[in-house]
Amino acid sequence: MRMFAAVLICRFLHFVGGLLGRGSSLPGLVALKIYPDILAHIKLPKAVVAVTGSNGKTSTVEMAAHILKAAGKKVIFNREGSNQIAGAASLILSACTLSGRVKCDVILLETDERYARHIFKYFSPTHYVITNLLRDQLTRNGHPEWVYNSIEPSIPRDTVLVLNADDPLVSCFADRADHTVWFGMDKQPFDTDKNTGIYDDGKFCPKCKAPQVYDYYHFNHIGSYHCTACGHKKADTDYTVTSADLDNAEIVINNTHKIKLSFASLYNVYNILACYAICSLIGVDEKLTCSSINSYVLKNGRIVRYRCGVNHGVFLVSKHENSVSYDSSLRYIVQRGGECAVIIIVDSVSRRYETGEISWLWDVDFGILSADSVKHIYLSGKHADDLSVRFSYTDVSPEKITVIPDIGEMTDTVAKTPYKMLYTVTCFSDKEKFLSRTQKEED
Amino acid sequence: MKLLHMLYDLCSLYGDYANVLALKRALEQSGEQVEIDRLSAADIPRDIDFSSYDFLYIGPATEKNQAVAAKLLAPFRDGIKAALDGGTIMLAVGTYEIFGKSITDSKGAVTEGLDLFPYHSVQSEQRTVSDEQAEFGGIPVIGFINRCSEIYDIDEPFFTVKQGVGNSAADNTHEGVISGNFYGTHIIGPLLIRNPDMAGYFAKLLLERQEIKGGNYADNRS
Repeated sequence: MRMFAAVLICRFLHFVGGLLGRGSSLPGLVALKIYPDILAHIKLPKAVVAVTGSNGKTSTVEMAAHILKAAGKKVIFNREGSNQIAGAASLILSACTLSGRVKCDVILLETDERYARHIFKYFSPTHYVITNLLRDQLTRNGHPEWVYNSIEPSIPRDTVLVLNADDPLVSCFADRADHTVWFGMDKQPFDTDKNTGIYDDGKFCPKCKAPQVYDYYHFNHIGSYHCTACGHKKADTDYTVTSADLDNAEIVINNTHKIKLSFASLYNVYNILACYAICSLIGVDEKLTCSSINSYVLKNGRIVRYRCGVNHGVFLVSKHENSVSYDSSLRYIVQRGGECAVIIIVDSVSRRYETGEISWLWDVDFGILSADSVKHIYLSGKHADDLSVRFSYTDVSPEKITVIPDIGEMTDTVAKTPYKMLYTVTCFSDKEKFLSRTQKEED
Repeated sequence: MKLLHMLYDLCSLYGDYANVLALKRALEQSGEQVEIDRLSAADIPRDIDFSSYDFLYIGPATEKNQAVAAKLLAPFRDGIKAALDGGTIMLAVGTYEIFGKSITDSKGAVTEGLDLFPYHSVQSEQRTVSDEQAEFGGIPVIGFINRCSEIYDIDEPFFTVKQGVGNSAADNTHEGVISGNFYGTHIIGPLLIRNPDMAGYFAKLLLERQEIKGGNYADNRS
């Protein structure tokens, strides 16, 4: 009876929320009030795939949903922002019959790193994908090892772990379950034999803290490593990017399947690989997976083309409080090679909370922008002066930098100054403050 | 002037390496020549002479790395103490906990500290996270706190808290520790970057110390 009531109310609120154009965690929250352990009594479909990690959760889940639908599966998945327990309850209960059976073939569940253990107290995912553990929102997350400790108790023994073998910290999770499937990338031409970032989180073995040795780095602490003491090392991979050609935006998986990239970033490569692994494990034909990815354009707005006065620009949505995301955007700009100006905006540090925490600026390798192709840099937003101090500790020439805290004033200035190309780097939290002052352009 | 960035690769979080750069810049602006040595946790020379440095710095670490740092530095306890007694200034951010008596982790396991000072810390599974406004000797300071420990039995605190959190839930008015030439805090940001007056304070201490050293040198010669 409680099941009936909780599901009914959840579905009703979900329906009303839909009419109001609001997806949210509220229906789940109410259902959990009526029946706190309802999720333990739901009849789940054969495949329940959880995806967690610092970066790439949303993109991986959205892409996998697209492919699974193309393969004829009925899929439900949650959106970014509803990845805590109430969000998971909303998603699952809204798709339930009144007797508590989920009407779909696959549940794809993006889970917040810190809340996974509260969700998987009630049911076990059949597959548990962990993408990476990087310095992300340290304000609330502490540090990657702290996040590791939060995720660890959420892993049920009987789940199939799907782990990024290239991340030494993520690889430690393998001890938690009986079965692990590995994905990773072989050595590529763009790899480095040294860590090129500001900090090196792969320097010491996450298990025993002896020094680790890398054969190569893809980026940050992601690469091929082995511990000099305890033997912890990159595992042999089941799903492998055997070749990645970022210049021609093309990768090959397991030596056979070629995939075109809509956005040639390493992030995207890992998202595609994780997604490929999920689909293959659920039984989708690998050729179909590849053709679906090829037709899938990243719709999440992380790349937007705009016009600002006399200039054409590309908006690269990055994440504040996430140095790897910034590094990746800055490297993308420099790798394009053409002459350009770069706008960096840090106004609201977080979308979720008020904070003046800016230590993460010191983890970002802004020195990348000392490249000759970068002709000018505009620093804007409430933290423009903090950015300016940060740049004063890089090799970037001060003549290249203009500081204009007011975003409108900065945009007006840039609009009048011709550049061959513009790039804007900022977070979701500050995206519209800039884009609303420009005109959107189609690809 | 010689600065040592201790265990720069093991105790490295929240961009706090920049504290050393801020101090270097402040000293250079006073006309000093500054040399920074970086001590790796993977390779600590047995005969390292901490007293040969004017300034020692150690940054924040994960709880696991902090415990490793305590073990790695234990054999050098007396050398660090001799340096501090001899006038070397030290700033420890976060990891100042290891220079106290002990650190008890959230499961009750105890890591021995270097026992240079009488405080001890107790970790929990909750993090204390807060924007911070504080004051030290008339210098206003802003920053951020992100720790999972409470620190007890501090004789002389570093900062008076104006807004934010202190050394423990029981004491939200005092943050960090001072003992002689040793300064410890959990304020990140980085502290000396966001608060140039604090960088100036340490620069001034070092310059005064050098004058005294110079004076002694002259005395010895006469």
